[in-house]
Order: sequence, then structure tokens, then C-alpha cells
Amino acid sequence: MTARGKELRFAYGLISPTFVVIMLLLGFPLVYAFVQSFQHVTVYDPAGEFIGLGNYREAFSDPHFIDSITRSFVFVASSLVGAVIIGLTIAVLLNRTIPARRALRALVLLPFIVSEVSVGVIWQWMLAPQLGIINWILRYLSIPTVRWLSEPNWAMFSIIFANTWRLTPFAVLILLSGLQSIDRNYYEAAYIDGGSHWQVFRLVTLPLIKPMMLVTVVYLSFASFNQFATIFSLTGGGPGRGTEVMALNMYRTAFQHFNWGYGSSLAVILFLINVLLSVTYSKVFERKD
Amino acid sequence: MCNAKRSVLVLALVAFVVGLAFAGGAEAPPDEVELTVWGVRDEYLLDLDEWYEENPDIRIEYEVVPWERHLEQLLLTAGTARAPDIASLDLPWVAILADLGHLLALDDYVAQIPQDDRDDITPAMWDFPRYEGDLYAFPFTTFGRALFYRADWFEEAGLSHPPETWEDVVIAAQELQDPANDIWGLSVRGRTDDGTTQGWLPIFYAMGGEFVDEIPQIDSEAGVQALELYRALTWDYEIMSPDTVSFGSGEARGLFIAGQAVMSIIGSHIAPAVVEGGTEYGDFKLAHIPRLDRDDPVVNMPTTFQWAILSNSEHPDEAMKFIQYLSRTEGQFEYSKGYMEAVRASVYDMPEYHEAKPWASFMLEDQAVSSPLPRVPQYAQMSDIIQDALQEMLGNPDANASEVAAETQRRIDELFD
Repeated sequence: MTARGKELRFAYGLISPTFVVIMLLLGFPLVYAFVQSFQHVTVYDPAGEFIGLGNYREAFSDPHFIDSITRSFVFVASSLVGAVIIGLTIAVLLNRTIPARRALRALVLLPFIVSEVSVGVIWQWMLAPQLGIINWILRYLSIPTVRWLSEPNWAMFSIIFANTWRLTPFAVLILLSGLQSIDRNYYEAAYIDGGSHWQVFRLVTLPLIKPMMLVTVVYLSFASFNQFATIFSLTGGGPGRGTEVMALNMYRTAFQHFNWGYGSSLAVILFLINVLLSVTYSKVFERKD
Repeated sequence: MCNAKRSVLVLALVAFVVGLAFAGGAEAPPDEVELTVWGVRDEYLLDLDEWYEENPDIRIEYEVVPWERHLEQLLLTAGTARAPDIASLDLPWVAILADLGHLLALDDYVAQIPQDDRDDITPAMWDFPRYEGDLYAFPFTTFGRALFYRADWFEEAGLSHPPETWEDVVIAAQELQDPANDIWGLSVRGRTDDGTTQGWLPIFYAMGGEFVDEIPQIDSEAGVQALELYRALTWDYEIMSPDTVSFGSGEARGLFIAGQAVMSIIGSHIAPAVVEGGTEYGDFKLAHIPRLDRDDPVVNMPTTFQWAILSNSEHPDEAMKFIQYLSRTEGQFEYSKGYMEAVRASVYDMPEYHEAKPWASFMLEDQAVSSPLPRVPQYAQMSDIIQDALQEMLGNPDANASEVAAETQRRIDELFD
């Protein structure tokens, strides 16, 4: 065996235990959920019975599920646009030489280290109609209060806002690392050629941070599609089903109605949407190259 | 690096990872029994000094699994090595878990308890945690929903008697509320969770609502009236905030504690928090769930919590011994003096209990007219359906109670087909 072959064998030897553990911890549940999605399995009938595409047929004939798909796309798209635009703006600011830059960078990351459930609870108390501080401030300023959590459109806005608040720091982190890796010479050359700030940003900065943008968009998209804990603790899916997104619908089906087979089919649909979207994002970003 | 060293390194890594994957907690010494106990809140862990003095060889591992996820966790772990030996159960969970065979029937154990000790527990409480005739949990505590009202405000306004009927509630609320300053007549829970269902069922029951084989008959005169009530109080009489549809326990109780609600239908266990919030008992008081007519009987449908032994426990005798320790008079007093209500007569005989809870006699009276929440395995789904109905009534000023009742009944009946 060549030295290169030995080197490779050693490398695979080192990663194989981790690979096996990851496959057991992540791969097995995934396969299990996939198999279960073709069965009628409930807490009352855990043995299960093969029903083919029955669960999928039920899902796509359930108006609540169809509505939850629409809500998920609205939720994900809004969170994504908000987090990327705000994240990029903050990243650009933090990339400049400003006072207390290090402290600000640390501060900006705080929302991301708060647990998802806590984010929901924090915003629930801030947005609570009568007792929340935001409506209190509005009242103090003699501005009409807002039914943040009890009017469907405002409730949707509230969950998007809370989710964006939590995910923006991730966008900042990744995009800032991209900005910092850009060679200053590109900027100097662009300005010497007479480029305006906006032109330099659009034609130099954005193309060079495209790989980081892809990572950001893919992660934020996954995180938002799978978001359940913040919404559950903030609105519980209400009012009515006004904020019931796919992940929450799946949780209710599997863990409140204990219909595990049907819940698994919803999980598989959610997984496939995530995969499709990540492929789409890659294609879109590649095409622009 | 030579091949042998590389192989040893790889093997060591494999062993480390496999070891991590299969590592378990420290096991109890062979002569010691360990009981795992799940409570829904911190308050369920009582002082164990006396227990360890008497039972040094039975170690208690207490874990809080919050009420909101307790049932789900029990269902996921039941039958596995991760299941607890003992768990505190909300009443509706008893039927769900018993039906699946996850709970141990306690009749034989209870039969061995001296009669006078058994008689010390309110008779109705022995009946509550039964499923298909068998006792599956040991009564521990209860709390009934009550109408909390600001007695001091009532007095100032010259309202002479506590609100007994819904008409009384509306009149008092309209007299005392000030929505412009965010002081509402009445607060209730409305958010999509089981607490909302458990808060509405006593109202339905007090309006004459019936249960056939424990299934609520929502598509009935009482059902339509109880649904319409939530809509009318919010949108016609405007004594409940239009935000009620999003009120969880925090907001429903918070408004009353903060002096932003004249009345509130909340659990009696909130009363200590009201006192702690600065309103003395006397300035606020508790009344029974309002009825339609003063002559209608006073009834309630309280929530009870009880201790159950999981059927795969390897130490059921020790578990029963521990449950009896928790449920003895001293244990009940320790738990109940600042939280939910005791179910032992001997606790109500203690002057210090009445000192801690001046409303104790009211609660004892309430227990006597109480009936259990539905004990059906489909409770969780049924509760969800009722929540959908209440969301519609609270969130839609034009909701039609008859149509909502019919649809709700259709969906509930489907569960039992």
C-alpha cells in the first residue's frame, strides 16, 4: 500500500467511530420515521399496520395541514428575508472600525444563545396585550395598542419577529466572517476605478460573500421550517390555528394526539421540503456565478 | 507512527465512543432500592428527612417533568428502562395510561391501609382516579376552578352579595370594569391548551351540561349556552378582553393579581399568589362557578393530581410505601399550605391550615359537590377539539354557537366510534 493509501486508511479509521455514532443517532431515527410513515401506528396500536401511502393521502386531504404548509412558507420566507437583511446590515457595521466593536459583536450574538422556548416565553411576556411592556409603552405614548397575539395577522407577525430576532445573530456571525475574509485590495481597486459605495457593495462585497450567504440561507431556512418550540410557547399555534405551521402540526399529531404514523409522514414531508429547498438554494447561488 | 500504535489509537477511540454511547448512570448499591419519582412541579418534592430516617435503604430520585410535557414523556418512556417508578398524574391522564396498561392497579394495596386512614381522604377523591372500576392512582391534591372576585371593589360599589349567576357576573363587571384603563370585568384562560378545556368544562357542567359515558354532550342546550357565553362575554357584553383567545394561565391570573380584572375564573391554587401579590384575602374572595339561575345546583369539576405506580416498576411495594409517605397528613399539609388543596379531612382540622389558607373551608365545601373530569383514553384529542371550539367562540364575534357545538360533537363522537 502506498503512503497516501495508508494515510487515507488511517484518516477513515479516525472518523469511522464518529460516523457510526452519527449514523446511529441521526440516520436510524430518520429511517425509522420514514418506515413508520407508511404504517398506522398510534399510542393505542404501537405494533403498527402497513397502510402504504395512506398517511400521505390523509395529509394532503387535510385542510389544516395544507394551511399549515402555506403558513410555514410565509413564516420561513419572512424570517429569512428579515434575518438576512438585518444580519447583513449589522455585519457590515461591525466590519467597520467603530468604538466598542468587540463588545458589540458579543452583544449581538446573545439572542442566538437563548433557548428557543425561552425566546417564546420572553416575547410572550413582552407582547402580552394587557401586561406586556410593548403595549405599556404604546399606551404611555398614547398610541393605540396592538393585539399582538390574539389577532391572526399580528400573531403571525409576532412569531416571525421573535424568530428573526433569534436567528439574526447567526446571519451576522457567518456574514461577518465572510466580510472579514475579503482582501482589502479589491475595495481599493474598485474605488480607484470610480465605484460608488453602493456599486462596490453590490459588485464586490456581495459576490465575494456568496458562499457564506448560501450557508446562512440554508441554515436559516432549515431552522425556520423546523421551528416549533418558540411558536409553541409564544402562541401555541393560535389564535385558532392562525400560527400553526407544519412543525407545530406535526408535534400536535405525534405528541398530543399520539398518532405516530401520521406524525412521521408529516415529518418526512417536512424533511423533503427542506431537502428540495437546499438544492434549490444551491442551484440559485450557482447560477449567478 | 507505526501500525500497532495507530491500531491501538483507533481502538481506544472506538472504545471511548462506544463507552460514551452506552454509559449509564451510577446504579444503587445491591442492598439499596432506588425509586424514580416524576413530579409536575417542584412543589411535589416534599421534605424527605423523616423518610430516610425510616427507610435508609430506599433512595428517592426526584425529577421534575413539567405538566405541559409530562403525559407525552410518560407515554414515550412507559415500558422502557427510563420510565419512573412513580409519577404524579393529572386526572385525565389516568385513563389514558391505564387503558394502555402502563399503570398498576392499587386496589389491593389500598385494601391493606387501615380503614380510618382511608376514610380520612375525601370519599369523592377515591372515586376520581378510577378507570373501568379499578383504582389506578392514590389521591394527593386537588384544585377547583373558582370565581375570584374583588370583594373590596364590590363593597365600594354597593354590590351586596357575591356573584352567583352569570347575570350577577355581567352586572358587576359592567359596573366595575374600566376597559379604557385596561381593567376588565372578567378574565379566563382561552389559549390553545388543556388548561382552557379544564377551565370551561366546569362552566358547561354548571349550566347543566351532561356527560354520557363520560363524553360531554356539547351539542345540547347547555353546550350551546356555554359556548355562546364565551362569545357573548367577549363581544356583546364586552366584559372579557378581546385578547382572551390568547390568554394562558399567566395572563388570566396575572390580570387579577395586577388589579386589572374585577373577576377571574382560575384555579384555587392561585389564591396564595394573589395574597403574595398584595391583595389580602377578604379584599378578594372566592365564589363557586356561576350558574344560569340562582336555584341551579352548585357543582364543580376540579382538577386532581394523584400518585401512580408505573406497571413496569420493579419495586411496587416500596413505591406504594413512598406514596403513602407523601400522602400522609404531614405531607399533605406541607404541600397544600401554599399550593393546591389537601384531600385529607385531618389537614382541614388543622388550625394552621386555615391560617395559611383562609379559603380552606370554601374549598372543602366545593370538593363535596365535585365530579371528575372525563376519564376516557381519548381525552387529549377531545380536549383539542373543545379548544378549537373555544378559540372560534373567543376569536370570532360572529361565531354561531349552535353550528360550533354540532361540529364539535361530530368530531368528538368520531373519536369514540
